[in-house]
Amino acid sequence: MAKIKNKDFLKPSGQCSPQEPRSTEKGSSAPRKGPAPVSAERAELLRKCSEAATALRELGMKGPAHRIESLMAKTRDERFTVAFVGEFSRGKSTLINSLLGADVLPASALPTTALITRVGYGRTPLLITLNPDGSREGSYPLDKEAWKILKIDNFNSSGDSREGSAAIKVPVKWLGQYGVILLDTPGAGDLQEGRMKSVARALLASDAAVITVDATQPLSLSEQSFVQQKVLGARTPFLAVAVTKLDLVPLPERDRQMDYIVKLMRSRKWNFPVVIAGAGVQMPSDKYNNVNGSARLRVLIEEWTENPRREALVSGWLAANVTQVLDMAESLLADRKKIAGAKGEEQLRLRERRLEALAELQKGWGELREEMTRRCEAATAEFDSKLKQAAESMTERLQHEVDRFPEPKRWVEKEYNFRVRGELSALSQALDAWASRTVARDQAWLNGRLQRQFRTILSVETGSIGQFDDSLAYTSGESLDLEDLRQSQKRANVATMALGLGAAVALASVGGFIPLATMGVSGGAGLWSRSVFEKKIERQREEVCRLVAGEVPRIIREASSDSRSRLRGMYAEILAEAMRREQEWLAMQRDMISSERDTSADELSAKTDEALRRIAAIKRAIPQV
Amino acid sequence: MVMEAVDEAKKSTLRRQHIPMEYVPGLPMLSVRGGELCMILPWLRYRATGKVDGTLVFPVRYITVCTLPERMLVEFRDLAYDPHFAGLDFGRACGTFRHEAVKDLDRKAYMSLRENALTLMGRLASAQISDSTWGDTDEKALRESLSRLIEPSLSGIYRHLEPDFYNKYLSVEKYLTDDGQNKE
Repeated sequence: MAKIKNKDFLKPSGQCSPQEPRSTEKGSSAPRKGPAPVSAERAELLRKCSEAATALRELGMKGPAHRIESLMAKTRDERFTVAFVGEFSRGKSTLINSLLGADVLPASALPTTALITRVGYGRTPLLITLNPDGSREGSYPLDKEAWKILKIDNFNSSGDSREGSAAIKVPVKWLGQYGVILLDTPGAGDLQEGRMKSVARALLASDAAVITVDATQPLSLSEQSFVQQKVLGARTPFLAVAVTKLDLVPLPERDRQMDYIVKLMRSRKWNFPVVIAGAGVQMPSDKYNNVNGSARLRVLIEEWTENPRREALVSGWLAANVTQVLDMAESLLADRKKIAGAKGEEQLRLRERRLEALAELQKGWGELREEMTRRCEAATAEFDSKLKQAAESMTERLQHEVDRFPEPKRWVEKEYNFRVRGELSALSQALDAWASRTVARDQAWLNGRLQRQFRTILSVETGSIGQFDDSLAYTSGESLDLEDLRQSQKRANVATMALGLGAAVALASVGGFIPLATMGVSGGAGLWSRSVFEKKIERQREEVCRLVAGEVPRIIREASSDSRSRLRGMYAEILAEAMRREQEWLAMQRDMISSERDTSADELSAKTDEALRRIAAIKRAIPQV
Repeated sequence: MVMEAVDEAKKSTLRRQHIPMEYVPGLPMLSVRGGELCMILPWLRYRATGKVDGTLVFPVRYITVCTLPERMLVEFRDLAYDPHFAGLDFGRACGTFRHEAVKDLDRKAYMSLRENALTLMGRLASAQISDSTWGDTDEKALRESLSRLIEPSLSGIYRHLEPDFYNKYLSVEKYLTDDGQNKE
């Protein structure tokens, strides 16, 4: 192979490879200090938004002003959630502790973390337990006694289905500075299905995920499948792998072990950064120096929070929402101007009509909600019908395979489970893509109507319905009691041969023609036994086909139950947002009508003109930011 | 080097056996994989509609990757099974040919521009593995030809397949104006 001279010739100068998180200061691995980074563009945008809120408040539009302020607060309080995932006892809690610089989370050689634990900044160390609905259950001072709440041995072996979560507040400054939440999750593989589902849900809501991989047993098949299905399936925007417990590998082999992990990741096309967890593990060479140490992971997380794409997304979201509020205010002011311009009775008539129209429009909001609910029902019905169709075609495919397979018993034992999982994975991906498209289409429809009727739009992230939970795809094939026809056939062949030999001996004793008689007897017995076995195989095939027909729909139904409720959840979220927007819209209308009552027509007209000018100026300034 | 590799790929057994006949090679891209120089060749299809500039362009469906200069095939991928493209409808056209940037070119001029781009890309590849020269003028010429040739509707796919090459040579936004003209 010809050796390439410069491996980075395609990269722009100064850019590092993805495996090497950039240090913030040259020659130093220390993370940066200082206030939370807000770009100059964002600061300018926030200033403009604040001006807009003040202007609206001065114009008596308290509702829109409050809306803008809450949008700004949302952007300021925005958190960057990093989920730590992996199989059990891969050192997730230890890694988080090393990032925090203190033993905050309980960690031991046995699986420990039982609840999803959110670690964020707080002035006083505190442990807060939360109910599954997110409400606070209790709060405790963060000491060793409190840790017990997070431990798995706190849950009974009969399978406590408690699915709450815990929040820990720690006075670690960088968490507050960068608005980072670290999410410690129970390990995959050892826990209740319910808890695994909540891990999957947490992943869907995370901005980044760090996959912990144990250097002593790196990327087992189950681990690879977990990453592929749960982590990559959740489409988390930022990913990294943290290699833990490398210090347990003999020193001369550490580089080789890292090479192996990196190569394995490359072969699976996981092109995300790798970091060695711990306080600088001793290595035989300096090959992995630039990714060695948990401080590197911290730098990486900080970089993620400042990613320009993310920054642009947040600023874009804020600008779009504020512009919408201003659009709405502008359209209301335009109405008011029309009324102020009218004289005497005409003005009264216009006011009357406006109140009537308000009632009509309120009805319009309700109709849109109803239509959206209908669309949700239609989407769910389509989802169910797609599942039904998928179950039918999957059953047909599997039954066809059984028909072709020479030994149904072996198919059930060796192939069935594997094939069902493969089919489920493909189906899951297809349905996920379909659901995203459908929800986005319906939201676009709603936004089109809202834009036309109320000059507003909703921006709810449609997300993903996630991957099917194939841990539920258990097949009972192995429990099917089928006769081992291969063994029976062997025995029958031996018996046929013995019969032939016996016939030969008997005929020899009476002086018959031995070869012909032997062939006749053994041939006849062979034909008879073959036909018996063919019938038996046919019966077994039928039995297996019946099993497949009965089980496949159940498996699909169970594996997709979470996705189905997530699909409905996405619609529910859009509806809730629509309802919130409706309340705001109506409040704005009422504010406007009440502010007109005590003002003379001329004064109202002058004020409205001035307000329209101010809003137009602010609107012009916002897109320029 | 690149042009020969593309020609060979067109005649390869893999193409005959695994890529439907209507698929043709798109713009190749250079990539570095495991320290080796490679060429990514996307395969896509067009459908003539009989209208001038109305030929439908479909998304890139297959890619083949070979090393350079050995032309050893190292990857063949059907993007329909790539989770990243799960939402993409490969049966639906995503754009039309000719796009704005090449609308002023007739068939001969277009083919000559493409040939020139592939020759330049071949020279770039040679410069990476031998001592042949590659200057700023060549770099600019390659960027201009490629950013003009790339179908805007396929840029997202190209970007995903090889972000570094895309950013350096194919990024339409950087080198074309809104109406598809070359920026001064």
